[in-house]
Amino acid sequence: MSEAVKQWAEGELTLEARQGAGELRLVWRGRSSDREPGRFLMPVLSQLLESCRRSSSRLCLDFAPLEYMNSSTFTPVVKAIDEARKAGVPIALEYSQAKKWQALSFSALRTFETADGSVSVLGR
Amino acid sequence: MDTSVLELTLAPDWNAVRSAWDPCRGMLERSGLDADESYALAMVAQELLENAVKYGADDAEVIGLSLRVAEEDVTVEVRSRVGVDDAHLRSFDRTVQWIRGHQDPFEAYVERLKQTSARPYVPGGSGLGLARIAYEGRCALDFYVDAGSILAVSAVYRRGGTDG
Repeated sequence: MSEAVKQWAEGELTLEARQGAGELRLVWRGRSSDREPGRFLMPVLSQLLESCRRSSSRLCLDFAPLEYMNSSTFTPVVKAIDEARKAGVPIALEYSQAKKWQALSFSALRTFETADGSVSVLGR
Repeated sequence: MDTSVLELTLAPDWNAVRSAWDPCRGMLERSGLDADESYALAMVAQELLENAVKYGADDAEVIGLSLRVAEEDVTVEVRSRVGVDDAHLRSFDRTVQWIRGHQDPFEAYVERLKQTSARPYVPGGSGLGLARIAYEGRCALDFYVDAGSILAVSAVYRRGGTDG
């Protein structure tokens, strides 16, 4: 059982954080198409990574409901993976295999997966 | 099949870019492309338009977008004015040539992701959008600059093919 702990919205994008057992899940909905999405996303992702580090939780970024993200949105996501690795926070990216654009984009992000599972990219 | 064409003249601002999504996707679907193809090519149009807004001349008044759906291929073309001494144009040229140098656009896209990961965070200028057009949009990129300093960037999708 998880409960929504916080929500953020910017333009057509909404983010909803849910705390579960050993996992903080950030669900992405709508469209991420800002000119500089990092201005909104980087502080949110940094805050959640710090929360996960303190609570020894995994951070799961759930993109499955997301309708669209521009290429500029991938930069803060990639940097979040990098920051998680440096902070020792396990991070998972989940996407929808039923959405072809997600299957293509997120399968490419599997290049950042680690053998120990601390970085994983999962289609569902 | 007749060629279907959509021509849009847009203001060089972000809201205009966003507003182009629905007419692009609608036109592509009405022209017989399936939902995934229509989505991918609408994404291609968005990425090209975003580049035009970000890197076009400061005093540019309009951006032109055209979609041409023919029996064999689909062409997305975006036209915008560039500056006189445009560092972006040189960078753009290098990126397009770099993508063309990869046999598989997936490799170019992954390489760009790795480069993005390795450098400090800076918004824009990663070339990820162009690599995404080649990989996810399965498009071949080309461009020219005319005598009036108009940069025309085209992305050509070969229908029914497996490469760009």
